[in-house]
This record gives sequence, C-alpha cells and structure tokens, in this order.
Amino acid sequence: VFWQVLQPFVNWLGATSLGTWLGESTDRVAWLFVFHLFGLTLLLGTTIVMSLRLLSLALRSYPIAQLTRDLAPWRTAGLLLSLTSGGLIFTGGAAGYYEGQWFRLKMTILAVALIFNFTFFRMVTRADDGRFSPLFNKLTGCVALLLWFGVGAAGRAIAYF
Amino acid sequence: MFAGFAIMFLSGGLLFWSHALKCYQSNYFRAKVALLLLAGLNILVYHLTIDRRSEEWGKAATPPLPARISGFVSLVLWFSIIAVGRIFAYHL
Repeated sequence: VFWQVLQPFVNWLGATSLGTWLGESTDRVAWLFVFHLFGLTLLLGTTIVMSLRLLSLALRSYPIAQLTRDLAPWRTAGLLLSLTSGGLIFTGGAAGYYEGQWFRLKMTILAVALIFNFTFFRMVTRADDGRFSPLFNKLTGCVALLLWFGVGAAGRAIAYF
Repeated sequence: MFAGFAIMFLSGGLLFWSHALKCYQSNYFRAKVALLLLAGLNILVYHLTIDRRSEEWGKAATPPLPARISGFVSLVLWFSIIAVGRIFAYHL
C-alpha cells in the first residue's frame, strides 16, 4: 500500500523534462553513477573508520567524538552527494526502478540506516569516551556497518536482477 | 586496510578473469591498471622518503609539503580509479 501511494509521484517525476533528458542518454547516467560512487566512497569510508573505532578495532588512542568532528564535513559531503546523484539517477528511470524488488529493499534499508544514523549513531559517536558502555558502542558500530553495507549490496543488485 | 586490499584484489581478479580478453583489450581497463600502479608507486615513494622521518612531524597539525602532496596525489588517483572503473563498465 505504501508503495502504491507514491506511484503517481513517481510517474510524474519520470515524465518531467529532467527525467526524460536524463533517461535518454547512457553517458549522463554513467557520469551520475561516477558521482554516486564518489559520494558513497566518502560516506562509507568515514562510516567504516568511525564504526571500527566504536568496535575498538582501529584508532584506539583517538577519542571518538574528536574523530567524528574531524570527519563530519567529509561524511556530510558524501551523504549529500550520494543522495543527490542517486535521486537524479532515479529520476532518469523512475517507473522502471520503482517497480524493482531490490530497489524497494534498498530504499527500505536506506530509510532504516538514515534513521539509525541521526539517532543512535549520532548520539554515540558524539559522546565523550566512557559515556556509553563498550558493548553499546560495539553494537552501534556493528549495526551501522550492517545497514550501510546492506544499502550498498542491495543497490548493486538493482543493476543485475 | 589490508583486508580491503585483499577483498578488492581477489574480487577484481575474478571479475577480470570472467572477461579477461575483453577487459585486456579495453583502453579503460588499461588506464585503470596504469592508475592503480601509479597509486602503488605514490605510496611506495611516500614510505621510502618523507614517512621515514614521521616521528619528527607525525604530531604536527600540518604535515610537511611532500607528505601533503602524497595525500593529494593519492586522493586524485583513487577517485580517478573509481571514475575510470565505472565508465569502463559502459564500454565493455
């Protein structure tokens, strides 16, 4: 039902002049994918470093809150770049993407990942060391990695299935 | 970092193997391999030169110019590798 509600919007989006302009050229979409990869490199790269720190598998002598502050601009840039380029890629083939099971799975995991990111992950990665228990930190790091890698894996599957 | 390298090397090697001849004859593929070798060369030079004296500057807010050049070259090369690799898939 949820997916049906958005269907008219998707149809409209794909039929806009931007949608048809993007959809008619493989080259334009190819370059959008390059920027999508740049964005996710920044987002996943910084997420991995922060999560490994939460799991105390890397940068153990670096306070987590400081690491988060130092990486924040790059991580935000990565998120914005991924979302913008992803949105444009979708606009270039909206109806086709929209009916795909892998696309829907990706959007579902992405929604969960974003909510998790701006709640638990944000809270834990900005806290002073010792504020949360090591187990809670590790759990947060694990969940963040699973969610973002899930988004990536489901996204890759869209192209093949 | 070594884990990442191992995964990339193995999965990339298998992807190449599945279309070896087509890959090898593609200019995009050759450009990508050349860029990868340059990235390796860049980090080798870094480790053999300025990194040898990292105790002197490791805690400085701004590392010396050669170290910053290595970092910049590394970023440019790796982002180029991503771009070439992605465009390559459209010309296979």
